[in-house]
Amino acid sequence: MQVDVQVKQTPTPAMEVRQARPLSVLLVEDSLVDARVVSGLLKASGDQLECHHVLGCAEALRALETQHYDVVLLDLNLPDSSGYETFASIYRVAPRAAILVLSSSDIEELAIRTVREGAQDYLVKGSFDGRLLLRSIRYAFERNRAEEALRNSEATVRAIFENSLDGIVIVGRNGICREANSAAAILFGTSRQDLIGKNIHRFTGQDFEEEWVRFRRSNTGRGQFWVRREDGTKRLVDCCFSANILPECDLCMLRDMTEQQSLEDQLRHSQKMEAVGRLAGGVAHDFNNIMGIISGYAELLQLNSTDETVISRTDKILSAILKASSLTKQLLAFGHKQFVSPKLLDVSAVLDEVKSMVHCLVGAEVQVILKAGEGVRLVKADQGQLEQVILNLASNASDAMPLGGTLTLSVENYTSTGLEPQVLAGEYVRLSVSDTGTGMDSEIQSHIFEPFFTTKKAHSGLGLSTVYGIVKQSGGYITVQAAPNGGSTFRVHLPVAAEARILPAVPADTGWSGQSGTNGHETILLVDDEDALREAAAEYLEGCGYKVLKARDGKEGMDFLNSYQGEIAAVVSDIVMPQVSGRGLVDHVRNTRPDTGVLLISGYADDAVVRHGIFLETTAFLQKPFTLQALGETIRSLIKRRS
Amino acid sequence: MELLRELVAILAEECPGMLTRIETAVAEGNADDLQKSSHKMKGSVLQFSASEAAAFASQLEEMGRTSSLAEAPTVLARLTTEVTLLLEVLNKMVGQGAPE
Repeated sequence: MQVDVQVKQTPTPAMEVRQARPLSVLLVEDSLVDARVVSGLLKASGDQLECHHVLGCAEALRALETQHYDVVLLDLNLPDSSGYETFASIYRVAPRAAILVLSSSDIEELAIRTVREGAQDYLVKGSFDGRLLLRSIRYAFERNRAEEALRNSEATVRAIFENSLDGIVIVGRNGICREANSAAAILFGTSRQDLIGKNIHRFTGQDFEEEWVRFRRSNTGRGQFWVRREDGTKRLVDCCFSANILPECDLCMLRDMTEQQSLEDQLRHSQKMEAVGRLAGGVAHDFNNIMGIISGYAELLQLNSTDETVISRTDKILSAILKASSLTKQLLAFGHKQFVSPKLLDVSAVLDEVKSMVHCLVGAEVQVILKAGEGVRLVKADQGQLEQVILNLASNASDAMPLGGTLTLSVENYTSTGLEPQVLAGEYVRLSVSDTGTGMDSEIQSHIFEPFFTTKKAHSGLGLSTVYGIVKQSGGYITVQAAPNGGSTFRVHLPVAAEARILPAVPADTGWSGQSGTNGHETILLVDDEDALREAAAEYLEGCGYKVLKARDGKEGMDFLNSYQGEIAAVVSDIVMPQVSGRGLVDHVRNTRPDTGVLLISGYADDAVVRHGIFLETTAFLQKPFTLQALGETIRSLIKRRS
Repeated sequence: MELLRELVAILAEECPGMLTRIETAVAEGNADDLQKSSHKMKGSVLQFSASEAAAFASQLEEMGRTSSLAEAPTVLARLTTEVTLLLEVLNKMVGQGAPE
């Protein structure tokens, strides 16, 4: 039997609990008298309730499965269920409903138990009036709703706590860790179980004590300190502190800053190195100019003198200039400001040239074996860069053998069939660098070419990434084969150059070569903003028979190109100049006098040349300081090439 | 008054069934059933403040709980009398013309 009791009335203003919407009530009562009493009371009290009445437990369960009820008025003794079991089965199905137990006076103890287990309240039959019943229903509903909101909030906060990437620790007044999330446990290098209950000061040092005192004084704040793990490692931590989030409990939010700090340090370091490099490059440039002047006039003195003493003294000046220029070259190398010009190279020859440096690099305890195969084909690469590749790989190998071992460098021709995924099919010259050192696992192998990745304490992590960059720039591939404790082998594959022979290069060296043709009669435009250097060069060239047009900068040079009526056989120009640079001048020469050869001279010999966008393959280049004789020879061959 | 009249009518309708359940339980010696059915009777009559009838129902409930049914027929007879009396009084209270 089922009785639907619809009680809908306008609420009275005096109602004790403000109502929001009609509550849905399920009355579970097998006594019709009792049920009628309840519904009668509710009706008389006046409230908006939707009351549905069922007679037994099974019927109640069915009703609760199909519809949500805000409140369940529950008689515990039903034909199909009795006592606590009635409550338990209803509560299991409708944990979100507020259960109000209707009890007889003699089973009050049982009713109290249900309240302990989740019922909102109980009412003793015969001892409540309509007002009390209504108030109990409303309170039960409100309390239940508040509890649910609290449960939801707790679950949300718990989820945030558990999943936070930052460490969260709740610390008691005595410094004992009351609660910690897994991120905190990872940060402290321990497990949550081990962390909770321990004094947080066990993981910290003096820096933390100071922060702690400050935090405690101001109740809130941010700070940074080091966490000392039990295994001896340290982590730098940013801490956001908030006091008394619970009685006698403080909150510490901890963020591991170690990696970021280390990256910042590396960035600062590399920026510093770059600044130092720039400075070194700038100094080298100015030095080169000055040495150019000194050597120029020393040469002029020598040329114009038959006095043996003068000749031997100027020889000494010139050989000192040679030494000085090798110093500025080192400065340029240090600043990574070497001029990059790919040319045809024999890798075996390059390896042979750097072998003494490799020996110096690796130390006495490492045996070095060089295997430069015969008939190795040519590649197109920058010699300086290739040397750097060899030295970086050798240095890396040496570091992997702190107790000594064997370092093998070999060069051979290699044909890739394309079966290796890392090397495209084709003809290569393969440079292999093998060590018998500590090797590495696959995890490390996957990172070794990343910038700033290093397994060593005092290294920048740029060595192998530089190698990688150079190899890529040269159109090649690098592979690594290694196993923990099984040594490592790096293989650099450089594509075989299309041109099979080394073209006679324009002499671009400062070498004091023997007598060869320097004399001529043609007109030469000489552009340099360094007066003394320009004058020395002009004097020398005029001595060789040339007609020399002297320009103080690019602008003046252009004026000559525009206004000079005769033929200009060659333009000799500095690169970095005010107003019009060497680049602008070269463009102008090519536009106006395409047959005129160009010789660029610079004290930079660095990427400034590349930045200025000059294609050096079609022009000649001399790095300052150069001898006037080298200048003469270069001009001569430039003119010869033209004709 | 309307509610009371309705409640009396419901009680009058329910009582014979409740009494029959108790009688059956006593006759069959089913203690569990006796406890439950007399508990229900107790609750129903208490709504009308019938303390005499409730006391007898309570005694039967206790007998059921403790499975000592020896005195049950005697108490049942008294309960039946009390309930009959109660219904008479209630009917009188709500007027002879109480709804069926």
